[in-house]
Amino acid sequence: MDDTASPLKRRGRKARRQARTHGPIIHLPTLVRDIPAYDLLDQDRVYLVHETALEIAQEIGVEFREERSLKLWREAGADVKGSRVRIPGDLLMDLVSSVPESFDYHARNPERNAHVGARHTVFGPPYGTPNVVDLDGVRRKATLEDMRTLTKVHHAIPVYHYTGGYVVEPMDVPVAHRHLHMIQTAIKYSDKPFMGGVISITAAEDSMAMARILYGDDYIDRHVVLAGMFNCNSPLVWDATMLEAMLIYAEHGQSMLCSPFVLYGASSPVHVIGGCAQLVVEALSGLALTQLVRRGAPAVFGLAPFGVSMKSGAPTYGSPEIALMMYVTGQMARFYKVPWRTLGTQSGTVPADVYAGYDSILKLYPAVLGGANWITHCGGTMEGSLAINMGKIPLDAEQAENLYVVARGVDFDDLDAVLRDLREIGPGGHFLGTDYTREHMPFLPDLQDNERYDAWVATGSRDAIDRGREGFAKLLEKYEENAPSLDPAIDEALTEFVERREAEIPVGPGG
Amino acid sequence: MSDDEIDLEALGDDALVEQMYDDLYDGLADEIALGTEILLRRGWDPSDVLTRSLVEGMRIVGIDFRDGILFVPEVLLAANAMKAGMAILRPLLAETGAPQMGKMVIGTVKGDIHDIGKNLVGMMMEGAGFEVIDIGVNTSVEEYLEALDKHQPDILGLSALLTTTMGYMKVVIDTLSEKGIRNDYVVLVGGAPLNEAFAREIGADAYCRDAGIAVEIAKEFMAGRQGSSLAQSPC
Repeated sequence: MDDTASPLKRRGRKARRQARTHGPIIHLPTLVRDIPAYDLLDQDRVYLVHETALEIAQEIGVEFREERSLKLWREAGADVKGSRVRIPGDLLMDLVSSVPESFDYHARNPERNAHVGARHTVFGPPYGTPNVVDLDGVRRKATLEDMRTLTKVHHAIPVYHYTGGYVVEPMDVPVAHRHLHMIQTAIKYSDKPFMGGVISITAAEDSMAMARILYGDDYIDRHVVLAGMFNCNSPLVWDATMLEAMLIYAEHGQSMLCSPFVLYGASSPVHVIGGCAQLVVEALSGLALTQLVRRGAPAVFGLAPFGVSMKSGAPTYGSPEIALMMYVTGQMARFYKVPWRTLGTQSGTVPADVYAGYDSILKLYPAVLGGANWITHCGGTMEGSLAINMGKIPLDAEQAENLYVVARGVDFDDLDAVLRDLREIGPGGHFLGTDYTREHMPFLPDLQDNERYDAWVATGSRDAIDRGREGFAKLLEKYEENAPSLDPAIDEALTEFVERREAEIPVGPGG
Repeated sequence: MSDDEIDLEALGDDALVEQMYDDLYDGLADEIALGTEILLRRGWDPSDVLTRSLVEGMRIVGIDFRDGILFVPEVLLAANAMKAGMAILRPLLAETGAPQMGKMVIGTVKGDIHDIGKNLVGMMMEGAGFEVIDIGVNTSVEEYLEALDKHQPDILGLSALLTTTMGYMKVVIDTLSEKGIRNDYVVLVGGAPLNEAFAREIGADAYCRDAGIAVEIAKEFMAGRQGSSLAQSPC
């Protein structure tokens, strides 16, 4: 009779093919880092950076070009002259101390809930470009349709822990209405957590209103469901646009990535430590403000760092000083016990070529080794953030996944089992046929191609972008097979909201 | 039909063969051994069991391997299951004097001890029903000649990983020519630094860029050789 001593299961070819070609979307959980973050500085030097930051905050101060913020600072005891706020060290540290070290970032499907801070890291999609390079290699203006397509693909990408935000700037939608479609798209096409609109009070308030439609009033009062990206204009200026929206997020207890936008040598000194001290003030002052609005509001120490080409003034990516800034920033964020955010696989090139790859990894690796808790832009951003190359998105996402695996660290389990295998196999043997190898196959990106020359020619001499474009199409297919559904009542309510607000919100002169 | 409760005995011939394809695919050695026994008990010719059940099943495995559905460790597992069936068939095949799929002597050339690729080729070839005599690594011309003489294979396989050792393949092939026995064997070469051009230059019959391709090429050549089962009964 059938000997059931065999530990292997019957599955058959059909089931295996099905599972491996039409399997469900894999949603990787929030990364729990099990490698140490890279501490570049010893404790004395950390204090030196900290004290320098306090000096800047107290003596130079930060511009807060918005009335309500100034009022809050005044009431808190900062020295406010005009829009210049000089913040006493004690005050600053007291406020920063109430920023949560970590928080839950909720999704409409609880299985997609993410966690940010301490040892937890989330990776996210590209954001904010007005152009795309599509699957035919055509560079054109981004559209609302692109936003929808990209959101679907982002949903299907295992390592993206959230979607939304300005996935692209949909150039066929009036600026004043874009946030409406952005949030509707994020909610409708994905059940991951999403980012909100930030470029005006209207955008922020509508974001809250739409989140309320989805989650209900009670829920969003007690849960973080939105994230907003707020940039400080280095050096040392928080502008009205960003502040007005940020205050609304703070009020509602929604997360805020308070991110200095640093152009090394242009908006920061060409000095890693000097630049870091400056950006610490920028970020901490933003964080502190959020606490003046609502103590315990989830704020993230953000950093959007770029090099500057001294040939042209254009932003550069992958510069060594930027890597160093990331390491120091990470270390400072851990010193202040706040989560920190930075950028992933961006590139400053036009073509998605070798250099784009260099740029991308030279930004992603320090972000991960520096222990960033939130890594945005892990997909396809090119041309200094002016375009998203669709074919590059899956390639970048796989590299983020690669580093996800690195950051999970090493495993001491099963050491006995592998030593047993080694004894059995002996010198000169190989491990390819062991059960252990088969059951623990290493990470292999689908889009990686290590074919030998002849095979590569035989299979069409495809390069990375060719494969990336195919990968994009496959992700879209996978999305269609596994699309999350949305309660029709909520879908309808959101549509009504969008239509009503489009009628109410005037389109500005620039469209 | 529930996964682990399939009663092979209760399946008709066609259904049993289909199930054996799946069991090979899943690398279930015991189930393949049982299936082999059942077919033999039902009066199947051992040669038919080999070609229609085991070899065909491995061909399917090869397709999914080529398509990136199955990975190397899984193919090795399937080849292992195949060997469980072969262990039962081999003595019977020898007895009946049935035409073999083919026989290959394979070795890594002198100066080179790399063998993972060679081992993969060996396993895939066995999975395809070939008899494989692996004479190991660092193999001199004399050792190749000795093996050829002793085993009288259809195919000689030469493997090298190093650019510094691949030249030795030409030495081996030239020696065969000098001795007038070059045309007695199909010479297949493989290894990371090789390519088509090199294989042509040194007078090999073909360059095999990976283990899967090696099996396909070997089968093609065997179809042209008298006395092989491939020449007689394409399956």
